[in-house]
Amino acid sequence: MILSLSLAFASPVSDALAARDGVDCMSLGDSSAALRDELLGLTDPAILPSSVPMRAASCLAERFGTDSVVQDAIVAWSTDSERQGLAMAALMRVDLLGEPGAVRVIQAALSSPLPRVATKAREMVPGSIHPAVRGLAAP
Amino acid sequence: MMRYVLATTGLSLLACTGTTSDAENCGGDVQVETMSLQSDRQGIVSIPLSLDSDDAVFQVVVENSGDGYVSTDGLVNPDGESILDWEDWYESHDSLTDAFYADASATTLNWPVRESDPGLSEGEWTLYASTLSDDFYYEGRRDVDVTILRRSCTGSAMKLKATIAYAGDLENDRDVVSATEAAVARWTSIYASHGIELSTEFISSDIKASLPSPSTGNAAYGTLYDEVGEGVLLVVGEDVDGASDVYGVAGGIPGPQVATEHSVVAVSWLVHAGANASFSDSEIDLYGETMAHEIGHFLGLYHPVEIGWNYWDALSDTDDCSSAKSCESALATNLMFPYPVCGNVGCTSQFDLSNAQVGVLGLNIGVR
Ligand SMILES: [Zn+2]
Repeated sequence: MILSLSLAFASPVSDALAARDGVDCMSLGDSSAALRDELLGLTDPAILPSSVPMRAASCLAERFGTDSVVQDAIVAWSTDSERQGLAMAALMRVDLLGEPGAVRVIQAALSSPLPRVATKAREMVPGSIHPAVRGLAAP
Repeated sequence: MMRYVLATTGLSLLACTGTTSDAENCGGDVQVETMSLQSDRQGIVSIPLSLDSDDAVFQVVVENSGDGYVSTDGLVNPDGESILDWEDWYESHDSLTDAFYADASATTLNWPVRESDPGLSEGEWTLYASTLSDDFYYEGRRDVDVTILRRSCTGSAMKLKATIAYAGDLENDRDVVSATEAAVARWTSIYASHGIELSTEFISSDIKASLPSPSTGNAAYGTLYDEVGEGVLLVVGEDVDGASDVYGVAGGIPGPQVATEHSVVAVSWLVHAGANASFSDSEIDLYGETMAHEIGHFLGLYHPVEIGWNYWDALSDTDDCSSAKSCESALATNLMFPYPVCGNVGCTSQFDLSNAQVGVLGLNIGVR
């Protein structure tokens, strides 16, 4: 799985533009607890290249965003300086977490002591598809 | 008529306004000429290219004035011989130029692409382009803006001007600036090892840190390139196209070196910094290799092999390997390999280029 995440893309010519490019999270197989857990394992910051844990975080939000296990992980990342990049990656997909999940994650990120995480959360609030998230905008 | 059907050609010159400017370096000038043209009823644009005896390289950028797409169809020399035909390449498993692919509002042909391609000669050349609808049917009577760049020398002393623009307020982020400067130093070193002297300038820009894709295009990129004026423009942002997993994207293979929506390379600092959003030395190295790699695309280089292992560049001295194992064995250290090759303790440095790859860079209009 590490290989398939680091092997970035499949379409030969046009995708060559997007060099060192992203993976299609839907190509990773059927949604299952096993895939979720494998992706959670791939968020290990020690895994190289750096895009692998970032892609794993992104795919977790995209494929398993409403899963409370994944939301717990994102909330934990948002206050962990060694995983704040993962939190930022997940925040970019926050609308996919469902409205309650998105509110929970955004609230955690907004109150994070890590400035990059809090800033990313503030950026995501105004454009959210979820009214309850937009309602979290600072007055 | 769909793009896949053989193009018929027809003359369609509407207006031609010539402007000329000079550039420095390598003893050669870059001549710039602009035209406003319209495609004929079949959607074909005939672009006249008057070349001088000392012209060595040209780049033609055709930009759609409205909706839809444009692509390059072919090139005919003063003797009426077809030098380049999109149909020879469109379904090939060897990739020469993105100019044939109608996937953007601009098409860019830099010619010659390879040192082995037929050179230029004095006289009246014709470049054919086509205008297409949003659903890729030929569409006639469409206005296009054409810019022709010509230069007279081939690079014995190859120099490239690069501008690095910080998006958002990243120029005030000390960690990002420090890592970016170190990465640019690595990019400079990689290009120097292949005989290309990079001169760099850092600027700030009003573009939001969450960068649009240069492949899709964005008007802000054209505006920024207009301010820079020449060379290659690399924009540093937090992410590209809202993705948290894309290292960088080039605006074309090759990219246009005139102001269009696609005239930049965009890179993400965050994806390079990774899970902890903080740069290690090895991540800075990778960041610099991404810059060199993406600008390599912008100057005309393809991956030597694409993932899938059945599409290759059109160069004779890069291995036509056909499996992940054989390709990593043959090409893992190549700057243009499609992904970083990493193990548990680090990633393989990727800075090699073949002679033919360096030849492509030397023939780009911006390298002089
Ligand atoms: Zn690439």
